[in-house]
Amino acid sequence: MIGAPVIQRELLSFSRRPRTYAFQTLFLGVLTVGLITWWPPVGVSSADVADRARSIFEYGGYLQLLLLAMLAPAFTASAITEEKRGNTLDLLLLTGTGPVAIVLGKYISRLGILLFLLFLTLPLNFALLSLGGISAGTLLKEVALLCSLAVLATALGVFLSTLATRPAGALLLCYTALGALLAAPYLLKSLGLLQGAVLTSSGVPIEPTVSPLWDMHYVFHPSRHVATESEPTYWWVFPTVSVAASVGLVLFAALLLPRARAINSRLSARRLLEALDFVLGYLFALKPRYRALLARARGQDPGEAIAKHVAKKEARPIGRGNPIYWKEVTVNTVARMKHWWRLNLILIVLMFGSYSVFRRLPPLSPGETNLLSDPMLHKLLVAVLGGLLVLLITVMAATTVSREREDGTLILLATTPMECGTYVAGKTLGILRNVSFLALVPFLHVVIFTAMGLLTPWSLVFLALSIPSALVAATLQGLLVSLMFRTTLKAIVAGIALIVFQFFLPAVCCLPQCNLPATCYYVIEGPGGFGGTATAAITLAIGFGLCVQVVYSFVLYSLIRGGFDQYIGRAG
Amino acid sequence: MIETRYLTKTYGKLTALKELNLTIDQGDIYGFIGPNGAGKTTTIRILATLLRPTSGQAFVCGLSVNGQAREIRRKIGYVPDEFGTYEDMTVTEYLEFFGALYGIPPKERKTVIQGVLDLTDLNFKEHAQVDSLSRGMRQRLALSRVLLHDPQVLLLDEPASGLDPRARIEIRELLKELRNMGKTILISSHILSELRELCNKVGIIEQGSLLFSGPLSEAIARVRKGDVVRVRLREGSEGAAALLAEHDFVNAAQLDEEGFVEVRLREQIDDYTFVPEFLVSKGYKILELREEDVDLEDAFMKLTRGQVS
Repeated sequence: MIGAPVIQRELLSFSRRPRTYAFQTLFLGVLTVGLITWWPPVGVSSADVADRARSIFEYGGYLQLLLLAMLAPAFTASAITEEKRGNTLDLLLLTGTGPVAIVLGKYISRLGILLFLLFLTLPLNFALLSLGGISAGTLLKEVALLCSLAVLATALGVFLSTLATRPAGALLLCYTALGALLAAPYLLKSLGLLQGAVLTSSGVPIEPTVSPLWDMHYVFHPSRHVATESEPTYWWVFPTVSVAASVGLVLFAALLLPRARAINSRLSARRLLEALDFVLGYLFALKPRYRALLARARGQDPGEAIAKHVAKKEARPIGRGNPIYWKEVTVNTVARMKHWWRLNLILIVLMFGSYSVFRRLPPLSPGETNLLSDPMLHKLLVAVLGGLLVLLITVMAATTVSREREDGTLILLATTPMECGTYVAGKTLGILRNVSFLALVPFLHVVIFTAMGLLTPWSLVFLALSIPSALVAATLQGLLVSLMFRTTLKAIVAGIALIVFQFFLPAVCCLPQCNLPATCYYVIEGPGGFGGTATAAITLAIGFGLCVQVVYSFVLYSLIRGGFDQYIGRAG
Repeated sequence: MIETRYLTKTYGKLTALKELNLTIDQGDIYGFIGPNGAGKTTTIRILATLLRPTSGQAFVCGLSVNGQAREIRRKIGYVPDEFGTYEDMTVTEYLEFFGALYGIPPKERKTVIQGVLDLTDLNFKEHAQVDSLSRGMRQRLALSRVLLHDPQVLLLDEPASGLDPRARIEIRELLKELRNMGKTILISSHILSELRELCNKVGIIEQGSLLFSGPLSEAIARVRKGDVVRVRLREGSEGAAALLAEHDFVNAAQLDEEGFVEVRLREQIDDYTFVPEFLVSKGYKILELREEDVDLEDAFMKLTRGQVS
């Protein structure tokens, strides 16, 4: 069989890793706990039992989909990158094992693990079948959809692993791609760009063909997608496209594999950032001739003024400041980009520029108002922006220590008499400074639409009470994860899992104070203000910002401080 | 200056160090020798406060690694066997960064950095990017880094590993200079000939146990027992070999390929001067007499069994 030695080695290696069993336990554990919690109580009518079974089946399907989207990249991001980093890829290629066999071996072994996970859930599904309300056909469709997502996500992970230098890079790219795949139809739909029952010429609804999440929704609620149909006839389009795309990705990865190192050196994030930096610098930097003109106008020597300017730009003294902070804002990948702030500014201008375009768009149907006039859209947008900020900061913080550990620089810090407070303060302030401009986006959004009279000024006050402490907490939780996990890959997966858990918390414990997106959603209101709910909104903002997050940050810092020497000691 | 008492470190079922007792006095240059996996790096990392011992105690400058780690870090300089470098940092920035971490006041930092760059001969690279330096230069930079805060103790884990001959000689000369400055140095290395030139004491470790610790001369003397002496005679070598083989102090005597009489002495015999006396008394004329040299490599080979933990 093609790739058999690679498959054998991979499966052997997976079977020896405790995390394989940890993932399986987690996957089944979450599903089993969900099933037990929602299992219909004794004495309920058979119709209610069937209804409950159908709900469990549906939400269980979404949950499995989400877990798969989280686990597949974690399993596949290191597929080729670990061979590259361990200098074993060349050895594999030299043995005469062709690139197709290597990529296929990696792909099949990892896919096998994920499919085995799905196979393990079958008894749970059959238990649900016994309750009625679900047909065997629906069960098969759901399994087919989940399998197709596993097939696609694994192929995507292996492909990105061929392109990336580090597992963390492949992981983040894979999460971004899968996130876009799952959420794109939803986002487009919420912005009104994709309507509920848009059909192609052959009568296939569009959303289910591009996203597994919407395909599953289509399987459970076909009438919401295609009014004239009672059965989800075209549910197979996404699985078919996924399998075809996976074959293409795997073959493309095999084609690129022998040139992987050359591709890495050309596609490195550092090079891309430098190129972008160069373009931005060219576009925005004050040209020497203008600087000379300015100097002459001030009565200064132009040559001396230019030399002084260059020396000032290049000097990066530490002085009395926190050296860790200095490093974060000077030699960190993001900070190294001299024009980072300009890039931020461009993004913000583009974002707000797009609002003016939306504002000029005609209403979708006669009698409807423009989308931007709807406070609900702003509630959603600010909630999404808040969520993205927390995610971005947690992931950035989660990579910071583990990357130093991987690069072998943490061991140098570990033998200095550096205090935990210096380290945490330096890292936290450095990360927050690097994203400070982006952190202003939700505020700017509210400021603009408040000025336009579409939102109440109180929203801004409540937002100011909620966001800063949440960002500090996000940095600290990312740092803790980064200190605890040995590799960047594990730290990112753990960070994202933590964020997903937090995003689900309000639904679980019915408290909107549990996370930033939920709080943002509740504290944004239209010009009518909060009316009778003003007190509730104030309580929510203060409760979230000043109580929950401050206490959470304190707990996180205590955990970091308590285990600092132990975590840092793992440097070697 | 450095002392370990019954120092033990286990990783799960694997015992990396078994009740290690080690004493290094101030000003000693202590060579730590052992096969791969013997426990050298584990010992050094415990002394550098990076690892906690499972049991036993370790003291550096009278401070315990259990509980006084931060104080120890101010007094030691540690160069690991493998370490990374920061991208986009110049040599001066790199040293300034670590200078700030060691708490050197900003006003003194420049002078201190200049001083260590002079000592390590890296002045001409002060504006170079750290990640563009060769391995030898990086090792010199690592030594500059650990000298910033003028530590009393230097812990060097394989400082010459992977270096080309020129870089190795340069590092050796630098270490000699540090020895002359009165630093206490614990150095692990596989290049035994270099340790012989540098160290006044050695420790030989295998499977986590210290087989020998003491002056270098004592290590060599310990394996010298049962020396071999080679004698070239004008004539009659075969007869001389037969006569010597029957001597009470001789274990064996035979002719080698070069025509020498190879005389292997009994274990308890240290003095081989009886060999020329005996031969002259029997009428043989001696052209050349050689004592087979015993060096650190022989000591290492004889004291260790080539096993790893």
